[in-house]
Amino acid sequence: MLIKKISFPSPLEYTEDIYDDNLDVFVELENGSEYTVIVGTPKNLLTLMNRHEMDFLEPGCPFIIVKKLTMEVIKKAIHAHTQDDAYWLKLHYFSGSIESDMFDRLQED
Amino acid sequence: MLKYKKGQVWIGTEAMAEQFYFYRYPFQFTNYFKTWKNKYQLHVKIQVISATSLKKRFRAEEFLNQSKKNQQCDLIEIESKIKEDSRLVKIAEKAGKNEKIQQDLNSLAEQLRLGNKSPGTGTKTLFKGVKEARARSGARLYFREKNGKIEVLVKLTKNSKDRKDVVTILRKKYE
Repeated sequence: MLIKKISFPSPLEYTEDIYDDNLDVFVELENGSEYTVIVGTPKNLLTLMNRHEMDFLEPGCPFIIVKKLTMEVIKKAIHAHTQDDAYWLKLHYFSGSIESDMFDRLQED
Repeated sequence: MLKYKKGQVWIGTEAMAEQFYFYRYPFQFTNYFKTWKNKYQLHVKIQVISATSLKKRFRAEEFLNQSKKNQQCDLIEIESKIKEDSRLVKIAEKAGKNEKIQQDLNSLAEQLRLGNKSPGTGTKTLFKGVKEARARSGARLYFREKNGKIEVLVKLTKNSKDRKDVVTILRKKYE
């Protein structure tokens, strides 16, 4: 599916360390549907664990992982997630909203 | 137990009920334990309450660290500005319907109150003076610092359809 627009609630240029951060990304597709996903770097995962003094990342909405937070790289990553009817983009977007009984039904099948 | 006398001071060890050691805060003996006719009476009193080994490790470090943290914390006053705009009230109420989100919104606010300027997955600047605190669950708390206080401007979720509108509203109000 084609991307119509990518934007950010917080301007991308405010990112202090493009190798160590995560940010929300608004994605608008050609069909008019809109999604918000989180894009972060590998280093940032470690930073978050250290910041919270944990040996693992606490459960939560998944990140789309990129090497660095530049418009070019983010675009490429989002583009990859819009393939196959934007399946993975949708999965990222709806990850916190899926009722757990849906997983039970999938397990039963 | 009284062990020996050093000058005018008796040196000894005391045994206490095991449960006392699980308390986070220190404890004091009541007067019951402070008064006795002779050392044998004290010995009996202590023996009556001791259940297991007389040796028990008290984690003083944990207590001292806790105490240190409490002393270092300068709590920051938090004021909610959400109620000033009915549109923002509706958006915040919608976000709060999800129990986990509400829990994380409270946690973000508490962390800010404790002086943590970057709780959760980090704080982002939306525009001059207005920031967004973010939790992994998708909870988002918009705030600004003014006169040493934190003003909570709105609470919402990552997926809220109102996010763009909220920024427009906030820009008009606070930029």
